[in-house]
Amino acid sequence: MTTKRATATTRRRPGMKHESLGVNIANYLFAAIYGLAILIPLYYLVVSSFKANAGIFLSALSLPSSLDFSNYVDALEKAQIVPAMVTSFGVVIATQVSVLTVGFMAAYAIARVPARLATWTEGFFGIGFLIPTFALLIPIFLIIAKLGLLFNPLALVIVYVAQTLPFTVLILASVLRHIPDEFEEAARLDGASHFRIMWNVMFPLARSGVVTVAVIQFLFVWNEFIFAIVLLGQDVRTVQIAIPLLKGERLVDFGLLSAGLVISIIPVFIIFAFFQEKIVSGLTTGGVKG
Amino acid sequence: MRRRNHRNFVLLSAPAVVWFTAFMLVPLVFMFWVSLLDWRGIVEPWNFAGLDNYVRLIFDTRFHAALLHTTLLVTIALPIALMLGFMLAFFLVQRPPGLRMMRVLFFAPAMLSVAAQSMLFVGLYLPGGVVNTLLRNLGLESLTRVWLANVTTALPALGAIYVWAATGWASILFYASLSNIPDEIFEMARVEGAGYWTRMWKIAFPLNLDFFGVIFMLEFVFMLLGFAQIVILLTMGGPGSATLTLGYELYAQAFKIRNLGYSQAIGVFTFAVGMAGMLLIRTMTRRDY
Repeated sequence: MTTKRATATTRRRPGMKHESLGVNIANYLFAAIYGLAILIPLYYLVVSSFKANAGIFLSALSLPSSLDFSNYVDALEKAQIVPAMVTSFGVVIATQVSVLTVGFMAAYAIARVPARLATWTEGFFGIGFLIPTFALLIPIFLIIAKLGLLFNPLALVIVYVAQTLPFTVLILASVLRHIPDEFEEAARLDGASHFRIMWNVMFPLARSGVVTVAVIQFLFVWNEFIFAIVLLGQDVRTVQIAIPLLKGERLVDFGLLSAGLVISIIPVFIIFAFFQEKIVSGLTTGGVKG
Repeated sequence: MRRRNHRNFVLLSAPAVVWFTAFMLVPLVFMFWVSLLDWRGIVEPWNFAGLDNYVRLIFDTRFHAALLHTTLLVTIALPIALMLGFMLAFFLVQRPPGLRMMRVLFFAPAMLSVAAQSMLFVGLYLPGGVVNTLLRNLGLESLTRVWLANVTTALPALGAIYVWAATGWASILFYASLSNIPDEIFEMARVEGAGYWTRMWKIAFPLNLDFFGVIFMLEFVFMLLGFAQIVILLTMGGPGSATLTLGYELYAQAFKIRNLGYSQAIGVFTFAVGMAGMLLIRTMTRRDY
Protein backbone atom coordinates (compact mmCIF):
# COMPACT_ATOMS: atom_id res chain seq x y z
CA MET A 1 0.00 0.00 0.00
CA THR A 2 2.68 2.48 1.06
CA THR A 3 5.08 1.48 -1.69
CA LYS A 4 2.39 2.07 -4.27
CA ARG A 5 1.76 5.59 -3.00
CA ALA A 6 5.50 6.34 -2.98
CA THR A 7 5.99 5.28 -6.58
CA ALA A 8 2.89 7.20 -7.63
CA THR A 9 4.36 10.46 -6.33
CA THR A 10 7.90 9.98 -7.58
CA ARG A 11 6.81 9.29 -11.14
CA ARG A 12 4.46 12.21 -11.68
CA ARG A 13 6.17 13.49 -14.81
CA PRO A 14 3.89 13.14 -17.82
CA GLY A 15 4.93 10.60 -20.40
CA MET A 16 4.35 10.15 -24.11
CA LYS A 17 6.60 12.98 -25.26
CA HIS A 18 9.41 10.58 -26.11
CA GLU A 19 7.34 8.50 -28.48
CA SER A 20 7.31 8.99 -32.21
CA LEU A 21 4.43 10.81 -33.85
CA GLY A 22 3.18 7.59 -35.45
CA VAL A 23 2.99 5.80 -32.11
CA ASN A 24 1.16 8.72 -30.52
CA ILE A 25 -1.35 8.98 -33.34
CA ALA A 26 -2.02 5.23 -33.32
CA ASN A 27 -2.46 5.20 -29.56
CA TYR A 28 -4.82 8.15 -29.40
CA LEU A 29 -6.80 6.82 -32.34
CA PHE A 30 -7.16 3.46 -30.60
CA ALA A 31 -8.17 5.08 -27.30
CA ALA A 32 -10.58 7.43 -29.08
CA ILE A 33 -12.31 4.62 -30.95
CA TYR A 34 -12.79 2.62 -27.78
CA GLY A 35 -13.84 5.75 -25.90
CA LEU A 36 -16.49 6.48 -28.51
CA ALA A 37 -17.63 2.85 -28.42
CA ILE A 38 -18.41 3.45 -24.76
CA LEU A 39 -19.72 7.01 -24.95
CA ILE A 40 -22.09 6.58 -27.91
CA PRO A 41 -24.04 3.69 -26.32
CA LEU A 42 -24.27 5.56 -23.01
CA TYR A 43 -25.40 8.74 -24.81
CA TYR A 44 -27.93 6.67 -26.77
CA LEU A 45 -29.20 5.16 -23.53
CA VAL A 46 -29.81 8.54 -21.94
CA VAL A 47 -31.42 10.26 -24.95
CA SER A 48 -33.62 7.22 -25.64
CA SER A 49 -34.98 7.34 -22.11
CA PHE A 50 -36.60 10.68 -22.99
CA LYS A 51 -38.06 9.57 -26.31
CA ALA A 52 -41.06 7.57 -27.43
CA ASN A 53 -40.26 4.37 -29.30
CA ALA A 54 -41.22 5.85 -32.68
CA GLY A 55 -38.76 8.69 -32.16
CA ILE A 56 -35.92 6.29 -31.36
CA PHE A 57 -36.45 4.29 -34.54
CA LEU A 58 -36.76 7.45 -36.65
CA SER A 59 -33.44 8.93 -35.57
CA ALA A 60 -31.55 6.95 -32.99
CA LEU A 61 -28.88 9.48 -32.10
CA SER A 62 -30.75 12.79 -32.20
CA LEU A 63 -31.37 14.74 -29.02
CA PRO A 64 -34.90 14.36 -27.63
CA SER A 65 -37.28 17.17 -28.68
CA SER A 66 -38.35 17.72 -25.10
CA LEU A 67 -37.53 16.50 -21.61
CA ASP A 68 -40.31 13.93 -21.48
CA PHE A 69 -40.23 11.93 -18.26
CA SER A 70 -43.11 9.63 -19.18
CA ASN A 71 -40.76 6.68 -19.75
CA TYR A 72 -39.46 7.09 -16.21
CA VAL A 73 -42.98 7.24 -14.81
CA ASP A 74 -43.94 4.15 -16.80
CA ALA A 75 -40.80 2.28 -15.78
CA LEU A 76 -41.45 3.00 -12.12
CA GLU A 77 -45.04 1.77 -12.44
CA LYS A 78 -44.75 -1.15 -14.85
CA ALA A 79 -41.56 -2.74 -13.62
CA GLN A 80 -42.20 -1.98 -9.97
CA ILE A 81 -38.70 -0.56 -9.84
CA VAL A 82 -39.09 0.98 -6.41
CA PRO A 83 -40.00 -2.30 -4.64
CA ALA A 84 -37.28 -4.02 -6.67
CA MET A 85 -34.73 -1.47 -5.48
CA VAL A 86 -35.89 -1.95 -1.90
CA THR A 87 -35.43 -5.72 -2.28
CA SER A 88 -31.99 -5.25 -3.85
CA PHE A 89 -30.85 -2.87 -1.11
CA GLY A 90 -32.22 -5.25 1.52
CA VAL A 91 -30.26 -8.15 0.05
CA VAL A 92 -27.13 -5.98 -0.23
CA ILE A 93 -27.30 -4.86 3.40
CA ALA A 94 -28.09 -8.31 4.80
CA THR A 95 -25.27 -9.83 2.75
CA GLN A 96 -22.81 -7.14 3.80
CA VAL A 97 -23.56 -7.44 7.51
CA SER A 98 -23.41 -11.25 7.45
CA VAL A 99 -20.31 -11.60 5.32
CA LEU A 100 -18.38 -8.92 7.19
CA THR A 101 -19.27 -10.40 10.57
CA VAL A 102 -18.57 -14.02 9.70
CA GLY A 103 -15.70 -13.19 7.36
CA PHE A 104 -13.98 -10.80 9.76
CA MET A 105 -14.00 -13.36 12.56
CA ALA A 106 -12.44 -15.98 10.29
CA ALA A 107 -9.90 -13.48 8.95
CA TYR A 108 -9.01 -12.44 12.50
CA ALA A 109 -8.49 -16.07 13.46
CA ILE A 110 -6.29 -16.71 10.44
CA ALA A 111 -4.18 -13.57 10.80
CA ARG A 112 -3.94 -13.02 14.56
CA VAL A 113 -4.57 -16.24 16.46
CA PRO A 114 -1.47 -18.43 16.49
CA ALA A 115 -2.84 -21.85 15.61
CA ARG A 116 -1.63 -24.65 13.42
CA LEU A 117 -4.82 -24.70 11.39
CA ALA A 118 -4.38 -21.11 10.17
CA THR A 119 -2.47 -21.82 6.95
CA TRP A 120 -4.74 -24.73 6.19
CA THR A 121 -7.86 -22.60 6.66
CA GLU A 122 -6.53 -19.85 4.44
CA GLY A 123 -5.83 -22.38 1.72
CA PHE A 124 -9.32 -23.77 2.20
CA PHE A 125 -10.87 -20.40 1.35
CA GLY A 126 -8.42 -20.12 -1.52
CA ILE A 127 -10.30 -23.00 -3.15
CA GLY A 128 -13.24 -20.64 -3.43
CA PHE A 129 -11.48 -18.69 -6.17
CA LEU A 130 -11.31 -21.83 -8.28
CA ILE A 131 -14.99 -22.76 -8.14
CA PRO A 132 -17.04 -21.12 -10.90
CA THR A 133 -20.27 -20.19 -9.13
CA PHE A 134 -22.40 -20.56 -12.25
CA ALA A 135 -21.55 -24.30 -12.27
CA LEU A 136 -23.31 -24.59 -8.90
CA LEU A 137 -26.50 -22.95 -10.13
CA ILE A 138 -28.65 -26.08 -10.32
CA PRO A 139 -27.31 -27.87 -7.20
CA ILE A 140 -27.88 -24.67 -5.23
CA PHE A 141 -31.37 -24.33 -6.70
CA LEU A 142 -32.13 -27.88 -5.55
CA ILE A 143 -30.72 -27.30 -2.07
CA ILE A 144 -32.57 -24.01 -1.63
CA ALA A 145 -35.79 -25.70 -2.80
CA LYS A 146 -35.23 -28.47 -0.27
CA LEU A 147 -34.80 -25.86 2.47
CA GLY A 148 -38.11 -24.29 1.43
CA LEU A 149 -36.42 -20.96 0.67
CA LEU A 150 -37.28 -20.67 -3.02
CA PHE A 151 -38.80 -17.27 -3.94
CA ASN A 152 -37.44 -15.89 -0.67
CA PRO A 153 -34.77 -13.13 -0.82
CA LEU A 154 -33.15 -14.75 2.21
CA ALA A 155 -31.96 -17.51 -0.15
CA LEU A 156 -29.98 -14.92 -2.10
CA VAL A 157 -28.33 -13.63 1.05
CA ILE A 158 -27.28 -17.14 2.03
CA VAL A 159 -25.85 -17.87 -1.41
CA TYR A 160 -24.13 -14.50 -1.93
CA VAL A 161 -22.45 -14.72 1.48
CA ALA A 162 -21.06 -18.16 0.63
CA GLN A 163 -19.86 -16.92 -2.76
CA THR A 164 -18.13 -13.81 -1.41
CA LEU A 165 -16.64 -15.32 1.76
CA PRO A 166 -13.33 -16.43 0.16
CA PHE A 167 -12.64 -12.95 -1.17
CA THR A 168 -13.70 -11.31 2.10
CA VAL A 169 -11.66 -13.61 4.32
CA LEU A 170 -8.47 -13.42 2.26
CA ILE A 171 -8.54 -9.63 1.81
CA LEU A 172 -9.31 -8.97 5.49
CA ALA A 173 -6.71 -11.51 6.65
CA SER A 174 -4.00 -9.80 4.61
CA VAL A 175 -4.99 -6.38 6.01
CA LEU A 176 -5.13 -7.68 9.59
CA ARG A 177 -1.73 -9.30 9.24
CA HIS A 178 -0.13 -5.91 8.61
CA ILE A 179 -1.47 -4.27 11.77
CA PRO A 180 1.38 -3.94 14.32
CA ASP A 181 1.07 -6.10 17.44
CA GLU A 182 1.38 -3.09 19.76
CA PHE A 183 -2.28 -2.14 19.38
CA GLU A 184 -3.43 -5.55 20.50
CA GLU A 185 -0.95 -5.73 23.36
CA ALA A 186 -1.88 -2.29 24.66
CA ALA A 187 -5.55 -3.22 24.63
CA ARG A 188 -4.81 -6.49 26.41
CA LEU A 189 -2.81 -4.69 29.11
CA ASP A 190 -5.83 -2.46 29.62
CA GLY A 191 -7.77 -5.64 30.34
CA ALA A 192 -9.86 -5.81 27.16
CA SER A 193 -11.32 -9.21 26.32
CA HIS A 194 -10.58 -11.07 23.08
CA PHE A 195 -14.00 -10.12 21.80
CA ARG A 196 -13.51 -6.42 22.62
CA ILE A 197 -10.06 -6.43 21.00
CA MET A 198 -11.42 -7.97 17.84
CA TRP A 199 -14.37 -5.65 17.32
CA ASN A 200 -13.34 -2.42 19.08
CA VAL A 201 -9.64 -2.35 18.25
CA MET A 202 -8.91 -4.46 15.19
CA PHE A 203 -12.08 -3.89 13.20
CA PRO A 204 -11.60 -0.08 13.07
CA LEU A 205 -7.90 -0.56 12.29
CA ALA A 206 -8.77 -2.82 9.35
CA ARG A 207 -11.17 -0.20 7.98
CA SER A 208 -9.43 0.15 4.60
CA GLY A 209 -9.92 -3.56 3.93
CA VAL A 210 -13.47 -3.45 5.24
CA VAL A 211 -14.38 -0.60 2.89
CA THR A 212 -12.77 -2.37 -0.08
CA VAL A 213 -14.69 -5.53 0.65
CA ALA A 214 -17.94 -3.64 1.21
CA VAL A 215 -17.67 -1.71 -2.07
CA ILE A 216 -16.88 -4.74 -4.23
CA GLN A 217 -19.52 -6.69 -2.36
CA PHE A 218 -22.09 -4.01 -3.15
CA LEU A 219 -21.31 -4.09 -6.86
CA PHE A 220 -21.41 -7.88 -6.96
CA VAL A 221 -24.71 -8.25 -5.11
CA TRP A 222 -26.45 -5.32 -6.81
CA ASN A 223 -25.43 -6.54 -10.25
CA GLU A 224 -25.94 -10.28 -9.77
CA PHE A 225 -28.49 -11.68 -12.20
CA ILE A 226 -28.54 -15.44 -12.67
CA PHE A 227 -28.93 -16.66 -9.08
CA ALA A 228 -31.52 -13.95 -8.47
CA ILE A 229 -33.69 -15.01 -11.39
CA VAL A 230 -33.35 -18.73 -10.69
CA LEU A 231 -33.93 -18.54 -6.94
CA LEU A 232 -36.55 -15.79 -6.86
CA GLY A 233 -38.46 -16.20 -10.11
CA GLN A 234 -40.30 -13.07 -11.18
CA ASP A 235 -42.66 -12.37 -8.28
CA VAL A 236 -40.22 -10.97 -5.76
CA ARG A 237 -37.77 -9.06 -7.94
CA THR A 238 -34.36 -7.58 -7.53
CA VAL A 239 -33.44 -4.70 -9.82
CA GLN A 240 -31.60 -6.99 -12.24
CA ILE A 241 -34.75 -9.11 -12.67
CA ALA A 242 -37.05 -6.12 -13.03
CA ILE A 243 -35.11 -4.32 -15.78
CA PRO A 244 -35.09 -7.05 -18.47
CA LEU A 245 -38.85 -7.44 -17.95
CA LEU A 246 -39.26 -3.94 -19.41
CA LYS A 247 -38.01 -5.22 -22.76
CA GLY A 248 -41.40 -6.66 -23.70
CA GLU A 249 -41.94 -9.95 -25.44
CA ARG A 250 -42.28 -9.09 -29.13
CA LEU A 251 -41.87 -5.40 -29.75
CA VAL A 252 -38.97 -3.87 -27.87
CA ASP A 253 -39.94 -0.61 -26.14
CA PHE A 254 -36.43 0.78 -25.86
CA GLY A 255 -37.57 4.13 -24.46
CA LEU A 256 -39.11 2.43 -21.48
CA LEU A 257 -36.25 -0.04 -21.14
CA SER A 258 -33.59 2.67 -21.20
CA ALA A 259 -35.39 4.69 -18.53
CA GLY A 260 -35.41 1.63 -16.26
CA LEU A 261 -31.75 0.99 -17.05
CA VAL A 262 -30.73 4.53 -16.17
CA ILE A 263 -32.48 4.25 -12.81
CA SER A 264 -30.83 0.91 -12.06
CA ILE A 265 -27.37 2.18 -12.95
CA ILE A 266 -27.42 5.31 -10.77
CA PRO A 267 -26.45 3.62 -7.46
CA VAL A 268 -23.63 1.76 -9.20
CA PHE A 269 -22.21 4.93 -10.71
CA ILE A 270 -22.38 6.76 -7.40
CA ILE A 271 -20.31 4.01 -5.77
CA PHE A 272 -18.01 3.94 -8.80
CA ALA A 273 -17.47 7.71 -8.70
CA PHE A 274 -16.37 7.64 -5.06
CA PHE A 275 -14.47 4.39 -4.90
CA GLN A 276 -12.82 3.61 -8.23
CA GLU A 277 -9.36 3.36 -6.62
CA LYS A 278 -10.67 1.01 -3.93
CA ILE A 279 -12.39 -1.16 -6.51
CA VAL A 280 -9.29 -1.51 -8.67
CA SER A 281 -6.90 -2.12 -5.77
CA GLY A 282 -9.29 -4.62 -4.20
CA LEU A 283 -9.71 -6.48 -7.47
CA THR A 284 -6.00 -6.60 -8.22
CA THR A 285 -4.97 -7.82 -4.75
CA GLY A 286 -7.98 -10.14 -4.59
CA GLY A 287 -7.20 -11.45 -8.03
CA VAL A 288 -3.54 -12.00 -7.32
CA LYS A 289 -4.45 -13.97 -4.23
CA GLY A 290 -6.23 -16.56 -6.36
CA MET B 1 -2.21 -21.12 26.13
CA ARG B 2 -1.80 -23.14 22.97
CA ARG B 3 -4.94 -25.06 23.60
CA ARG B 4 -6.87 -21.85 24.27
CA ASN B 5 -5.57 -20.42 21.01
CA HIS B 6 -6.71 -23.52 19.22
CA ARG B 7 -10.18 -23.28 20.74
CA ASN B 8 -10.46 -19.59 19.86
CA PHE B 9 -9.34 -20.29 16.34
CA VAL B 10 -12.00 -22.93 15.82
CA LEU B 11 -14.76 -20.84 17.38
CA LEU B 12 -13.92 -17.82 15.24
CA SER B 13 -13.45 -19.55 11.93
CA ALA B 14 -16.18 -22.20 12.23
CA PRO B 15 -19.13 -20.06 11.03
CA ALA B 16 -17.32 -19.06 7.83
CA VAL B 17 -15.99 -22.55 7.18
CA VAL B 18 -19.41 -24.14 7.70
CA TRP B 19 -21.23 -21.53 5.58
CA PHE B 20 -18.75 -21.84 2.75
CA THR B 21 -18.83 -25.63 2.90
CA ALA B 22 -22.62 -25.87 2.95
CA PHE B 23 -23.25 -23.58 0.00
CA MET B 24 -20.14 -23.96 -2.14
CA LEU B 25 -18.57 -27.37 -1.53
CA VAL B 26 -21.71 -29.40 -0.89
CA PRO B 27 -23.34 -28.13 -4.11
CA LEU B 28 -20.14 -29.00 -5.96
CA VAL B 29 -20.29 -32.61 -4.74
CA PHE B 30 -24.05 -32.67 -5.34
CA MET B 31 -23.45 -31.70 -8.99
CA PHE B 32 -21.39 -34.87 -9.51
CA TRP B 33 -24.08 -37.01 -7.88
CA VAL B 34 -26.99 -35.53 -9.89
CA SER B 35 -25.03 -36.06 -13.11
CA LEU B 36 -25.31 -39.81 -12.48
CA LEU B 37 -29.09 -39.75 -12.20
CA ASP B 38 -31.92 -40.11 -14.63
CA TRP B 39 -33.90 -37.20 -13.20
CA ARG B 40 -36.14 -34.93 -15.24
CA GLY B 41 -37.47 -32.30 -12.86
CA ILE B 42 -37.42 -31.42 -9.19
CA VAL B 43 -40.82 -32.92 -8.40
CA GLU B 44 -40.23 -36.12 -10.38
CA PRO B 45 -38.73 -39.39 -9.17
CA TRP B 46 -35.11 -40.18 -9.97
CA ASN B 47 -33.24 -43.36 -10.87
CA PHE B 48 -29.58 -44.10 -10.79
CA ALA B 49 -28.34 -44.10 -14.37
CA GLY B 50 -24.60 -44.57 -14.05
CA LEU B 51 -22.72 -42.87 -16.84
CA ASP B 52 -25.69 -42.74 -19.25
CA ASN B 53 -25.78 -38.94 -19.17
CA TYR B 54 -22.11 -38.78 -20.13
CA VAL B 55 -22.57 -41.23 -22.99
CA ARG B 56 -25.37 -39.01 -24.24
CA LEU B 57 -22.97 -36.07 -24.48
CA ILE B 58 -21.12 -37.89 -27.26
CA PHE B 59 -24.16 -38.08 -29.53
CA ASP B 60 -26.03 -34.88 -28.68
CA THR B 61 -25.82 -32.42 -31.58
CA ARG B 62 -27.05 -29.53 -29.40
CA PHE B 63 -24.15 -30.18 -27.07
CA HIS B 64 -21.74 -30.28 -30.01
CA ALA B 65 -23.01 -26.91 -31.19
CA ALA B 66 -22.63 -25.51 -27.66
CA LEU B 67 -19.09 -26.84 -27.41
CA LEU B 68 -18.16 -25.35 -30.79
CA HIS B 69 -19.61 -21.92 -29.93
CA THR B 70 -17.92 -21.79 -26.54
CA THR B 71 -14.64 -22.80 -28.17
CA LEU B 72 -15.01 -19.98 -30.69
CA LEU B 73 -15.75 -17.45 -27.95
CA VAL B 74 -12.79 -18.63 -25.86
CA THR B 75 -10.35 -18.62 -28.78
CA ILE B 76 -11.52 -15.41 -30.49
CA ALA B 77 -13.46 -12.99 -28.28
CA LEU B 78 -11.44 -13.65 -25.13
CA PRO B 79 -7.93 -13.10 -26.61
CA ILE B 80 -9.15 -10.02 -28.50
CA ALA B 81 -10.43 -8.44 -25.27
CA LEU B 82 -7.30 -9.28 -23.27
CA MET B 83 -4.85 -8.18 -26.00
CA LEU B 84 -6.68 -4.90 -26.66
CA GLY B 85 -6.93 -4.40 -22.91
CA PHE B 86 -3.22 -4.90 -22.48
CA MET B 87 -2.39 -2.52 -25.31
CA LEU B 88 -4.62 0.16 -23.78
CA ALA B 89 -3.02 -0.47 -20.39
CA PHE B 90 0.47 0.02 -21.80
CA PHE B 91 -0.71 3.26 -23.37
CA LEU B 92 -2.21 4.43 -20.05
CA VAL B 93 0.94 3.58 -18.11
CA GLN B 94 2.83 6.16 -20.22
CA ARG B 95 0.63 8.66 -18.36
CA PRO B 96 -0.75 10.40 -21.45
CA PRO B 97 -2.78 13.60 -21.08
CA GLY B 98 -6.39 12.63 -20.37
CA LEU B 99 -5.34 9.66 -18.26
CA ARG B 100 -7.81 10.37 -15.45
CA MET B 101 -10.75 10.62 -17.81
CA MET B 102 -9.77 7.51 -19.75
CA ARG B 103 -9.42 5.47 -16.57
CA VAL B 104 -12.96 6.33 -15.52
CA LEU B 105 -14.39 5.85 -19.00
CA PHE B 106 -12.72 2.53 -19.80
CA PHE B 107 -13.79 1.01 -16.49
CA ALA B 108 -17.41 2.14 -16.78
CA PRO B 109 -18.80 -0.69 -18.99
CA ALA B 110 -17.66 -3.34 -16.50
CA MET B 111 -19.53 -1.55 -13.74
CA LEU B 112 -22.79 -2.29 -15.54
CA SER B 113 -24.37 -5.62 -14.67
CA VAL B 114 -24.55 -8.34 -17.30
CA ALA B 115 -28.28 -7.65 -17.48
CA ALA B 116 -27.70 -3.92 -18.04
CA GLN B 117 -25.02 -4.57 -20.68
CA SER B 118 -27.32 -6.98 -22.48
CA MET B 119 -30.32 -4.65 -22.37
CA LEU B 120 -28.19 -1.76 -23.63
CA PHE B 121 -27.16 -3.87 -26.60
CA VAL B 122 -30.78 -4.79 -27.27
CA GLY B 123 -31.16 -1.14 -28.18
CA LEU B 124 -27.89 -0.92 -30.12
CA TYR B 125 -28.76 -3.98 -32.23
CA LEU B 126 -32.36 -2.98 -33.01
CA PRO B 127 -33.24 -2.64 -36.72
CA GLY B 128 -33.29 1.15 -36.21
CA GLY B 129 -30.66 1.10 -33.47
CA VAL B 130 -27.24 2.70 -33.28
CA VAL B 131 -25.24 0.01 -35.09
CA ASN B 132 -27.47 0.06 -38.16
CA THR B 133 -27.81 3.85 -38.05
CA LEU B 134 -24.04 4.28 -38.05
CA LEU B 135 -23.66 1.83 -40.93
CA ARG B 136 -26.30 3.69 -42.92
CA ASN B 137 -24.62 7.03 -42.29
CA LEU B 138 -21.33 5.56 -43.51
CA GLY B 139 -23.07 4.47 -46.72
CA LEU B 140 -22.91 0.80 -45.78
CA GLU B 141 -26.64 0.17 -46.06
CA SER B 142 -25.99 -3.35 -47.37
CA LEU B 143 -24.32 -4.35 -44.09
CA THR B 144 -27.30 -3.47 -41.90
CA ARG B 145 -29.21 -6.40 -40.42
CA VAL B 146 -31.13 -7.56 -37.39
CA TRP B 147 -27.96 -8.66 -35.65
CA LEU B 148 -29.38 -10.94 -32.98
CA ALA B 149 -31.93 -12.65 -35.23
CA ASN B 150 -29.46 -13.58 -37.97
CA VAL B 151 -27.88 -17.03 -37.82
CA THR B 152 -24.42 -15.89 -38.90
CA THR B 153 -24.23 -12.64 -36.89
CA ALA B 154 -25.95 -13.63 -33.63
CA LEU B 155 -22.94 -15.28 -31.97
CA PRO B 156 -20.42 -12.58 -32.98
CA ALA B 157 -22.95 -9.97 -31.82
CA LEU B 158 -23.04 -11.57 -28.37
CA GLY B 159 -19.25 -11.93 -28.34
CA ALA B 160 -18.97 -8.21 -29.12
CA ILE B 161 -20.84 -7.35 -25.93
CA TYR B 162 -18.22 -9.27 -23.99
CA VAL B 163 -15.33 -7.61 -25.82
CA TRP B 164 -16.93 -4.20 -25.31
CA ALA B 165 -16.97 -4.58 -21.54
CA ALA B 166 -13.94 -6.81 -20.92
CA THR B 167 -11.42 -4.72 -22.91
CA GLY B 168 -11.75 -1.70 -20.64
CA TRP B 169 -11.97 -3.83 -17.51
CA ALA B 170 -8.75 -5.64 -18.43
CA SER B 171 -7.04 -2.38 -19.39
CA ILE B 172 -7.63 -0.83 -15.96
CA LEU B 173 -6.55 -3.92 -14.04
CA PHE B 174 -3.45 -4.34 -16.23
CA TYR B 175 -2.75 -0.62 -15.84
CA ALA B 176 -2.79 -1.06 -12.05
CA SER B 177 -0.33 -3.94 -12.17
CA LEU B 178 1.91 -2.36 -14.85
CA SER B 179 2.18 0.74 -12.64
CA ASN B 180 4.23 -1.33 -10.21
CA ILE B 181 7.01 -1.87 -12.76
CA PRO B 182 9.71 0.75 -12.23
CA ASP B 183 9.90 3.34 -15.02
CA GLU B 184 13.68 2.91 -15.19
CA ILE B 185 13.31 -0.47 -16.86
CA PHE B 186 11.40 1.01 -19.80
CA GLU B 187 13.62 4.08 -19.81
CA MET B 188 16.73 1.92 -20.14
CA ALA B 189 15.19 -0.16 -22.90
CA ARG B 190 14.20 3.01 -24.74
CA VAL B 191 17.68 4.46 -24.49
CA GLU B 192 19.07 1.22 -25.87
CA GLY B 193 16.81 1.59 -28.87
CA ALA B 194 13.82 -0.62 -28.09
CA GLY B 195 10.76 0.73 -29.89
CA TYR B 196 7.31 1.19 -28.37
CA TRP B 197 6.02 -2.13 -29.71
CA THR B 198 9.09 -4.02 -28.45
CA ARG B 199 8.83 -2.46 -24.99
CA MET B 200 5.15 -3.39 -24.84
CA TRP B 201 5.39 -7.02 -25.88
CA LYS B 202 9.01 -7.97 -25.07
CA ILE B 203 9.38 -6.18 -21.72
CA ALA B 204 6.06 -5.12 -20.17
CA PHE B 205 4.14 -8.24 -21.19
CA PRO B 206 6.60 -10.81 -19.78
CA LEU B 207 7.02 -8.77 -16.58
CA ASN B 208 3.24 -8.72 -16.17
CA LEU B 209 2.73 -12.33 -17.20
CA ASP B 210 1.76 -13.67 -13.76
CA PHE B 211 -1.03 -11.15 -13.36
CA PHE B 212 -2.08 -11.58 -16.97
CA GLY B 213 -2.49 -15.28 -16.21
CA VAL B 214 -4.75 -14.58 -13.24
CA ILE B 215 -7.05 -12.36 -15.29
CA PHE B 216 -6.93 -14.84 -18.16
CA MET B 217 -8.12 -17.60 -15.80
CA LEU B 218 -10.98 -15.49 -14.45
CA GLU B 219 -12.12 -14.47 -17.92
CA PHE B 220 -11.78 -18.00 -19.24
CA VAL B 221 -14.11 -19.33 -16.56
CA PHE B 222 -16.53 -16.48 -17.20
CA MET B 223 -16.56 -17.36 -20.89
CA LEU B 224 -17.25 -21.02 -20.17
CA LEU B 225 -20.19 -20.41 -17.86
CA GLY B 226 -21.05 -16.85 -16.87
CA PHE B 227 -21.35 -15.75 -20.49
CA ALA B 228 -24.55 -17.83 -20.62
CA GLN B 229 -26.33 -14.96 -18.86
CA ILE B 230 -25.99 -12.84 -21.98
CA VAL B 231 -27.43 -15.72 -24.02
CA ILE B 232 -30.32 -16.18 -21.58
CA LEU B 233 -31.12 -12.48 -21.68
CA LEU B 234 -30.88 -11.99 -25.43
CA THR B 235 -31.18 -15.03 -27.67
CA MET B 236 -32.04 -18.17 -25.65
CA GLY B 237 -29.61 -20.11 -27.81
CA GLY B 238 -31.31 -19.07 -31.05
CA PRO B 239 -31.91 -18.40 -33.85
CA GLY B 240 -31.92 -22.17 -34.35
CA SER B 241 -28.91 -23.35 -32.41
CA ALA B 242 -26.70 -20.42 -33.42
CA THR B 243 -25.93 -19.16 -29.91
CA LEU B 244 -26.00 -22.31 -27.80
CA THR B 245 -23.08 -22.29 -25.36
CA LEU B 246 -21.99 -24.75 -22.67
CA GLY B 247 -23.24 -22.58 -19.82
CA TYR B 248 -26.52 -21.95 -21.60
CA GLU B 249 -27.03 -25.67 -22.29
CA LEU B 250 -26.44 -26.35 -18.60
CA TYR B 251 -29.22 -23.88 -17.76
CA ALA B 252 -31.57 -24.86 -20.57
CA GLN B 253 -31.39 -28.62 -19.99
CA ALA B 254 -32.32 -28.04 -16.35
CA PHE B 255 -35.03 -25.40 -16.65
CA LYS B 256 -36.34 -25.42 -20.25
CA ILE B 257 -35.92 -28.99 -21.46
CA ARG B 258 -36.32 -30.38 -17.94
CA ASN B 259 -33.51 -32.85 -17.80
CA LEU B 260 -31.75 -32.20 -14.50
CA GLY B 261 -29.46 -35.22 -14.60
CA TYR B 262 -28.22 -34.51 -18.09
CA SER B 263 -27.72 -30.80 -17.38
CA GLN B 264 -25.38 -31.73 -14.54
CA ALA B 265 -23.35 -34.01 -16.81
CA ILE B 266 -22.80 -30.89 -18.92
CA GLY B 267 -21.97 -29.09 -15.69
CA VAL B 268 -19.34 -31.65 -14.68
CA PHE B 269 -17.88 -31.63 -18.19
CA THR B 270 -17.64 -27.83 -18.21
CA PHE B 271 -16.26 -27.76 -14.68
CA ALA B 272 -13.55 -30.25 -15.69
CA VAL B 273 -12.70 -28.20 -18.78
CA GLY B 274 -12.53 -25.13 -16.54
CA MET B 275 -10.14 -26.76 -14.09
CA ALA B 276 -7.93 -28.18 -16.85
CA GLY B 277 -7.92 -24.81 -18.65
CA MET B 278 -7.00 -22.92 -15.51
CA LEU B 279 -4.18 -25.35 -14.80
CA LEU B 280 -2.92 -24.96 -18.36
CA ILE B 281 -3.07 -21.16 -18.19
CA ARG B 282 -1.29 -21.20 -14.85
CA THR B 283 1.55 -23.36 -16.20
CA MET B 284 1.85 -21.22 -19.32
CA THR B 285 1.95 -17.92 -17.45
CA ARG B 286 3.89 -18.84 -14.35
CA ARG B 287 7.32 -17.29 -14.41
CA ASP B 288 10.20 -19.45 -13.29
CA TYR B 289 12.36 -17.45 -10.96
